[in-house]
Amino acid sequence: MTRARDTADAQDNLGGAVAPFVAGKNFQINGGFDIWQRGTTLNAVTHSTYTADQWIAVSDSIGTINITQQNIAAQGLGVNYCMRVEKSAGASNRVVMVSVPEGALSCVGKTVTLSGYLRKGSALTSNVTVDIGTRATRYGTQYDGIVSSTISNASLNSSTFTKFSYSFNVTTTTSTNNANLFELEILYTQAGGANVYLEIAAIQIEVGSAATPFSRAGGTLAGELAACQRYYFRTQTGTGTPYMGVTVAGSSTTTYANVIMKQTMRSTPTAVDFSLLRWQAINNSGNITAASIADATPENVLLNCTTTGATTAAMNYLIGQSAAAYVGFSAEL
Amino acid sequence: MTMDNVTFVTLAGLDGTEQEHAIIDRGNGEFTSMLKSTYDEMIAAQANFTPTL
Repeated sequence: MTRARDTADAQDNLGGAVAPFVAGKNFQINGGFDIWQRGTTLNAVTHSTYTADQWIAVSDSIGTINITQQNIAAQGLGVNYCMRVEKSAGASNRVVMVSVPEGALSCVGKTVTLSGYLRKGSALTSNVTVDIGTRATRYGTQYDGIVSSTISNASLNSSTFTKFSYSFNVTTTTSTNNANLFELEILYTQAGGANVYLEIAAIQIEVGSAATPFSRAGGTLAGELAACQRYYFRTQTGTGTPYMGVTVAGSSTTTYANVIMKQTMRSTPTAVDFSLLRWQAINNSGNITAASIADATPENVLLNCTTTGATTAAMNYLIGQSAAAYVGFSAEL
Repeated sequence: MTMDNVTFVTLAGLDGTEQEHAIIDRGNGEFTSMLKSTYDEMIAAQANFTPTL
């Protein structure tokens, strides 16, 4: 069944226009804050840290920045979750959430609209600033379509969400500079304290001059997870001692672990996050104290793991020491 | 990402080729590892990155 037919049927059923839940409409992956592979409570994050999938915390300062997922299903925004960006301590400095979704080159010559919702903590007194443009790389120069707009604190509410939207043109400056990334920044500046936070929800970047109802970039939750796992993949069960792959010992102190990516990554992973890993044989095991990428493709990673007590050439399982164990692979932009 | 507590180690791949890696201790038993060359590029890029706002 086509989208047009779906929409027509739904309009017949409901007697009016319906939200076009279409995969690919929204360039902002995880704009609904459904996917948090690194955890849904991230305390004391530091400069240039990935938080919710696709979202980077940037802080000039330091203080204590806590990023958490909050359930806002009851708000009726068409999303289940938002991201709370809290500054619980520290001097008055910028707290910036950044995302760099791909796709700007496909929008050259078109108008693009950014939209989303904001809600403030009861002690947030700062205005909020929103900026979007294009970049060739995450840390590169920002080009074209730059919109920088201040949303006054007075316009925000601590109980309900306030919608914002901005439209801009993506011009040939973007294509000339091969700037395929949208670069979105949402910022406030305030000293830390209790209830100093901003909540961000339903972020959407779409072609067109008007904001339409939110739709996940991946369409469904499964599609959104797959889209996120193209950039970062973490295997973690949260229960038991999770099985993650197989290892073959190269010596008593080195074992090579193979982990298969669930999704073909954007590029070959270049970094691995890990905690509480071990190898397990039938009657023997050893903790892994270090793991580095020995070889990788976008589908498969071989880890060089430092351990003790392994039997050369023995094949073992790669598992966790506890339910908190994980191994994660980054092909982030 | 915290850049404190970085250890550089030289590890051999399956073919015996040695490469230098950076292992970042993020506390609480959590680590991030990457090639030292990748780490150096990341540090340089972060030093140059300024949000537009």
